Amino acid sequence: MNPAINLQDFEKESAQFDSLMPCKVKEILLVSSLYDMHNLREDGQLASTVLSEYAELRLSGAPKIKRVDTGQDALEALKHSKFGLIIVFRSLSDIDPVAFCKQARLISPGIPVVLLAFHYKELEAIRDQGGDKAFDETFFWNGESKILLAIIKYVEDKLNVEADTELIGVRVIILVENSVRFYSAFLPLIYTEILRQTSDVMLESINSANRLLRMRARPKILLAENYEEALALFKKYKRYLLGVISDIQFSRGGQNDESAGIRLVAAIRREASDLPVLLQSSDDGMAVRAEAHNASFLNKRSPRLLNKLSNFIKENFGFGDFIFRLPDGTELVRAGSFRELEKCVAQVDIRSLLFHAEKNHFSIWLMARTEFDLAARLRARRVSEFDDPEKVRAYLIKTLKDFRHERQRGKVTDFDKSKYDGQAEFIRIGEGSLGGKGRGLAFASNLINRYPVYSAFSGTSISVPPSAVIGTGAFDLFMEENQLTEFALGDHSDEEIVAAFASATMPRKLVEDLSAYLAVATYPLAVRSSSLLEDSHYQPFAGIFETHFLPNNHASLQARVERLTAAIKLVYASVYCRNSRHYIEATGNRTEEEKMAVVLQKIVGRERDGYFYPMISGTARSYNFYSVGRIKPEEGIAYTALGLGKTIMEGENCLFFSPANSQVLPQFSTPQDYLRNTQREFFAVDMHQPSIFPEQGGEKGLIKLKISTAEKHGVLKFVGSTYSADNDRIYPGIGRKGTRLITFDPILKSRIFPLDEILQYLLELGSSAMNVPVEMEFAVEINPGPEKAHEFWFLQIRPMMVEPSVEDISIYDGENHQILCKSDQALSNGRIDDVRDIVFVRNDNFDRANMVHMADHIGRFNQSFCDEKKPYMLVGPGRWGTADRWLGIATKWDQISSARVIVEAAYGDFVVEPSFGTHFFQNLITFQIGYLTINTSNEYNFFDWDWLNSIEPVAETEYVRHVRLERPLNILIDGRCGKAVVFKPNGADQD
Amino acid sequence: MNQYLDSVLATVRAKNRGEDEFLQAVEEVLGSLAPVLENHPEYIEAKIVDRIVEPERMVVFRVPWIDDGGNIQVNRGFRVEFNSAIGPYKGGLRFHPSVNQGILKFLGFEQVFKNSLTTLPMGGGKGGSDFDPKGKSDLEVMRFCQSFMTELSRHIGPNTDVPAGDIGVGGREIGYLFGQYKRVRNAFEGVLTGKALNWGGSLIRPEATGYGTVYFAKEMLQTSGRSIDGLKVSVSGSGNVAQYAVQKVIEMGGKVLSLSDSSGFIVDEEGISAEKLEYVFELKNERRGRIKEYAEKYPSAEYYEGTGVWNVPVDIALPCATENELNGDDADTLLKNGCFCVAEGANMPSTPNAVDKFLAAKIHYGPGKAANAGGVAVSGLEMSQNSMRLSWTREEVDERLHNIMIAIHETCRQTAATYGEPENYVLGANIGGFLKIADSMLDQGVV
Repeated sequence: MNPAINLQDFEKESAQFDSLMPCKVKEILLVSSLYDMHNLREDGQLASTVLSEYAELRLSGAPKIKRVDTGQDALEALKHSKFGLIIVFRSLSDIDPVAFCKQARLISPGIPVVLLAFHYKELEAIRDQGGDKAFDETFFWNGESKILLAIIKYVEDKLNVEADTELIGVRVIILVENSVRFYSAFLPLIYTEILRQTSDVMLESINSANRLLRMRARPKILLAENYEEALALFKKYKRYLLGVISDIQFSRGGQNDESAGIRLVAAIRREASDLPVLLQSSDDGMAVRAEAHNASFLNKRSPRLLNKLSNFIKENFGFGDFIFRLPDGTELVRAGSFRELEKCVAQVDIRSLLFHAEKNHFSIWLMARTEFDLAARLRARRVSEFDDPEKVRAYLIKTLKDFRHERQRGKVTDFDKSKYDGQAEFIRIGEGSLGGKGRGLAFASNLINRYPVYSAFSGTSISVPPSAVIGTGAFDLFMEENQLTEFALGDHSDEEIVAAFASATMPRKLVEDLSAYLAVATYPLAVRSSSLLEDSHYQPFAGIFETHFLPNNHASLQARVERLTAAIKLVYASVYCRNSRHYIEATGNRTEEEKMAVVLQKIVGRERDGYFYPMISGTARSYNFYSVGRIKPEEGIAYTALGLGKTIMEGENCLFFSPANSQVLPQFSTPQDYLRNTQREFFAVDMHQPSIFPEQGGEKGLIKLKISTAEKHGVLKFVGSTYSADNDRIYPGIGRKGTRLITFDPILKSRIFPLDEILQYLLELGSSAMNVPVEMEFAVEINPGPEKAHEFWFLQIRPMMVEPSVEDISIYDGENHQILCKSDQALSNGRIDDVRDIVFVRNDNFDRANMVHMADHIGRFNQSFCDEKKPYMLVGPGRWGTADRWLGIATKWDQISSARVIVEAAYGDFVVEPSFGTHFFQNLITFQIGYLTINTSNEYNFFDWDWLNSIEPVAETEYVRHVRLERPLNILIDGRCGKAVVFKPNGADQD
Repeated sequence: MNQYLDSVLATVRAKNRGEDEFLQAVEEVLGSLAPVLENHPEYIEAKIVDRIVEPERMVVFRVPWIDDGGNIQVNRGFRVEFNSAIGPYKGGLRFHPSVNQGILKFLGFEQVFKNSLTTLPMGGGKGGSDFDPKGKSDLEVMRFCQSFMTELSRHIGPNTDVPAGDIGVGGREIGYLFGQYKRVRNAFEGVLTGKALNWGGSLIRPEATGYGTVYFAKEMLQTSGRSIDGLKVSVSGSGNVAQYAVQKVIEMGGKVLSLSDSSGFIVDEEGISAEKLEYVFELKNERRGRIKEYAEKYPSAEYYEGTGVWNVPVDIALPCATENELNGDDADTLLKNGCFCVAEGANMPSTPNAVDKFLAAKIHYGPGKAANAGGVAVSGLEMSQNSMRLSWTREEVDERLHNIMIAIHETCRQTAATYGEPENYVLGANIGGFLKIADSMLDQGVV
């Protein structure tokens, strides 16, 4: 099964909101005299006025303003710059505004041009000349700077309403008013009210980015100046209307109609009986007629106009609290948030519930919060569909709850201690970056939720465990408040650093947040580093920084907080420990640049008899530079273990296989391979010790258990096999007597769980999304009964480091005197240029019969390199580590462990067989050792024995020689094609 | 070596160029036959040695099979039927990329004498293929085995040639091979050994080598009026061979003081009791832990890193770990500490230097090819049970194994005595195995 990768699907929701209001006014060309502009703002700083209006309403993207004096200057400016709006004053000195408007549109076709008059007579004059039609709109400056905001928003709404309603169902409010003076006063009022109320409800958004996006989905306001325009707008946007605010007296059929508004509402009522309509008039007598059409009424001259308008908007357009009332209007209770709405829906009088449901009040309220999907979902259901009123309640409860959870899925929710209830899957505590790991986790969470991944495999749920990330802001504050930076960067031992951090104080706000978090998060936690520079490292989970496992089950919340903060401090301290500092600096960064976020991740698994662990944990890579046999590099590789993934990270025995070819296990061939090289113990969190305090090293809280324990817990049957000594055979499962082995046969061979398919799917998904090979961490719980799905937990994803600097090795296909050796069976990837020493089994006196003696000789050389911490290249015949004296050299790993590159060369007629026997191979991968097999029966392969033998040895024994070069070898390994070339030091071919 | 043997060797070298392992093995065997030929000129007349170094038959065949990807693969199969003078050919099948005719001839040649020493009616042979089971799925291994056996079945049978397992051929492969044989030949017969218990395998197989080593040691001791009872024993290794050797020593009243693994060794002055041995079984076979945990469990024991197990003063040493684990210095130490019996459970655990020292000291020294023949013996017992269509109990198999080891010992002892070196069981083993075959070949005419 391959995921159909489509970035548009991935970004669907955010893309929708992002696509709203594509036409924004970014720069305004204001054509006015200085005096006119001064009148707009007394101190002359118009741009700041606009900016502060935006800020007050928590809007973003305030436009810039360019002012010019004359029409000609404006036309000239238009030729050189792009503007979103032209505001022109009546009093242009050099050109008639109408003529200017026409000329401006020749230069910038379609540009909105608005006329702003300071005096009513100016408007009359233009109207008399019919010039007002030239402009998109005319406005009257009434002394309120908010007019500019209204003009900008009005223009943007006009430009965007059609696309926005079609894209996402953005709501529309129609204002019908033909008085320039009045709508110039009224529009700002309406906009301010709409924007403020939208902004207020947007505070419930899960994070600030989300809030800003959703502001774009606020209701749009369209202005109609006569009956025909109004009706046309109604018909066009009927589906999206929030309401109509209309004057009563305006033009209809080219004539002034004193009841045009009444007729309008009557026409509206024929098609939308419950659409909120507010009629305005300075004649109180119109109130009765309005009421007859079920419309609200507002006296234009009322001193409380704004207040009444605000109330109307709040009550009828879904802003403000949801007020539960009985059909007779009696107020019962109010809900100011989703959570409160959910609670009220569960408890309120059924009569009230049905009343509001029938009138679509819930969907209206949701629309105000730009939750159009959910609003539409509710609106589509009728109370009459339910045979029992309580079923209406049950439906609403479930829908709202599912919605709230769904909304948070895949998103980073800003933590709010007053509201946190554990529903959000991924939360950010505090400010600052999420760090490398945090970003990967957020991405994984998003990926899982954007694609139909959750249920892509029948009977298995794929999810990300609940996680919280403490942003790097907390780290900064911690370091600052405790004045630790200078100390930490100084020359101190790791113990001193850890002690200083442990005794430092956590920022108070962070402690409060963590208390609120832990009050809800009562499960075992992994406290993981997430450093800022981590992405640039691209190391395969090398464990530079620490992870701490907390049982988090102390009876006292305070105690749990103390342990969590202790773990966080240890993670912070680990930035400055020697190992980390060397590593950071080795990657070309500076320790002081490093900042640390901390990931708090729910440990996946189950508590079994006081031990908490997942059934299976693992890592997987979509590209494998250590591919052997028929496994191709691009088929990827997965490593799995029983229990916590620490087994794999520590390089202990685990299983590896290619998800594309899981029937082939290169590690194992004979039962002895299984007995020697399968996992024997596993890690779990010890829940019997709630009082344990985390310590440096990350080992506290963990326990190593035997396989027999897993068998007692009923876990082994899903991952184990049995060895029968009598039959010398391995049988999948544990249904017979014999030695238990962790082989994953029930999964890979008997296929009780599609692990390989899921891994293939997710690796494909991840690498398509990131455009590079990826590596991921995962955990699995298999639930045998039909009532609960199996669980696949996606823990982490990050791009793999693929060394870009390796040249195209194929250009060295021919012979070359500068080459020591070439191989087309090479493992690893990258360039190695620090090896000057070569230890090799001599080929001048090689005799297979003597291989049995060579291991000790090699081991002695290796030890000296180990002591000097120097790398070397080892050359010998295969197989390393074999027990069969005729098949190779019986070395143990610690006899060759300091080799940076191992070359298996041909010695006479001795057939070279690559040493892929397990622990040896596992060590190759863990220590990233280059491995070349030179098979001279293949043309590409080559080894220059003559040159090597010509070098004066530093030391030698009967069978083994050590030479040291003046300059290092240049070793290139291209893991993608499995080829490698080892160059002699520069100029050495001249030696 | 005498002139005749030199000329035979020269001919073998000329005819088998490049087969170094085979040539080395031939040279070793021929090197010990000079005194035999002096006593048996009829062997020269009948060109026994000329014939014995030439396999009776070698079959090379094509083994095509289809991998999981639907691709056709081709390997080469071999069966070297070396000598059937005393019984049907008997020897393992090896699946490994290094397999070639030369290696199989070497292994088959050695097998001839090893099998003969067991006193069971088993000839010698070896076979295999350059197929590499590593990195293959179960189904691929099965398909290969089926193709391999389809051809091999023409040449083997319970009274002709009875292969067994070897490197790359374990219980799984034997199962697949047997299944195909049965199908192709329409016969359920004892054509392979190493079968599972449910369909003709023998009990005691895992224990056989360990038990056999101790039985051999017991026989050696008996010749000097001793028994294992009350004696101190050092055992190296902690795998199957070592574990069951310890078990048998305990049964016989001996006191085992040590065990080892690749990391180090333990010394338990109290002796390893049956209960402690149970712990070792669980430690090594279930948990696959390290031997040092024994010392953590039992305070009477000390653990030591690295080598040195032969420094423990004992009466009997049973090297059961690996090749070349006991060198000349170790031999000196053992001898200095009063060790008077060494029986090898592993293959060639003593270096040639150590062997020379044991022989020079005239202690009881049982070389591996005799002392560890228990495994091969049980193979023969499996054949016997199959012929009778019976499955013996553990006790019955054990008793017969014991009797075989007695017979092996007797062969070694008598032969060594006949050739003037009554304590030299190396000589006794080499010659003893040869004599039985040579006499049989003499009886059977020029075939």
